[in-house]
Amino acid sequence: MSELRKVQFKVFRFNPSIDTSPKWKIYEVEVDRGSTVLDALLKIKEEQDPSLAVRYSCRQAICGSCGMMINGKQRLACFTRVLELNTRVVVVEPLNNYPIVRDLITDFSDLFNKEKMVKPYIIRDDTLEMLNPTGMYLQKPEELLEYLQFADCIECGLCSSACPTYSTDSLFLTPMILNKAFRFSADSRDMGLHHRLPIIDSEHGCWRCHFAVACSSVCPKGIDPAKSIQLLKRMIASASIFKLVKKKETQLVSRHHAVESVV
Amino acid sequence: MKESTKMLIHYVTGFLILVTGAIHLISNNLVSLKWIKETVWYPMSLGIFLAAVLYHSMNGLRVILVELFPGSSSGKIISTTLFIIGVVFFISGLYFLLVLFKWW
Repeated sequence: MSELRKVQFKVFRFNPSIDTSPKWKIYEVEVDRGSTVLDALLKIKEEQDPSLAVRYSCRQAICGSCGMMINGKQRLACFTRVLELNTRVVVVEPLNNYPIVRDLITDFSDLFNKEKMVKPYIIRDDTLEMLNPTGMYLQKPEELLEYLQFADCIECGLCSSACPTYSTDSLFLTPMILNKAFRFSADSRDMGLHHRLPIIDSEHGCWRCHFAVACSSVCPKGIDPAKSIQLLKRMIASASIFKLVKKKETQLVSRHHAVESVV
Repeated sequence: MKESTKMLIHYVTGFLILVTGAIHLISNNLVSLKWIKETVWYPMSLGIFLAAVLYHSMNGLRVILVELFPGSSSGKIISTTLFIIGVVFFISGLYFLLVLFKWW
């Protein structure tokens, strides 16, 4: 069994419906080598202060619910080991750039509304096939590699919290949404770039990115949203200004044939 | 005008400032290349320099202001105001340029 160590947690506390101003509370927690910040926060909630509000779900960096500022940096609480932070006091705050719901919980509604605007799904012209699918669209490995890295997004919102443009321009689409727009526009099966253009090629769209790369430095999944935004700019310039749209031709394979080839 | 077109012109004018600015500096500082100033291309390059600097600076200012004051109506006000300022500066700058080279 690993040795237990006492660590102080300075936690941001604020309930907008009761409090007039935020306050800090200090808790002391015993942690071991494997304890994450989320484990420590839940221990505080169970043993010291049940009123502490924390949002979490999977505890394994998949759901993206427990994003918060830990020692001044955007991190997932379930993916950050306390002792690896190597500090006597761990400062925990809600994510920057979002309205606070309560304590460490922030409101992502603005982000999800913007996400709907960029149509984060595959759009195709063959409506009949979409309504009554007869098969599946083939995708070559090199076509998959065009967007694979950017498809790993868990929508934790850390990138948008770190974005300096979003901190001043609340209408900016943010790295998470622009990455999503690129992921689908780069998909060989998608034909929806012209549907997304009015939003992503707007005054508060991808051109407002200053390439500070703060988004890429905090992504817990190792995605590079700054790169996807630059690729999106190139894609828009080719399609919108130079009218160089690569015609996407995807082979539709009937279900029967696909099952046979797998067997 | 689409945002992508505005930004493409922004990058192109940035390059033009570099080229025409270099022509201006070289022709005024290198004795062996002073003959450039005698050609008809010199005032023309200054005209391009003026237009490029004005577009680049006004668009840069627009980008900053649009971020600081987000909103669809504020964006239109900012763009229109800066466009008018840019046009006024361009006309007056062009007038001085024409007078300077005795074309007016």
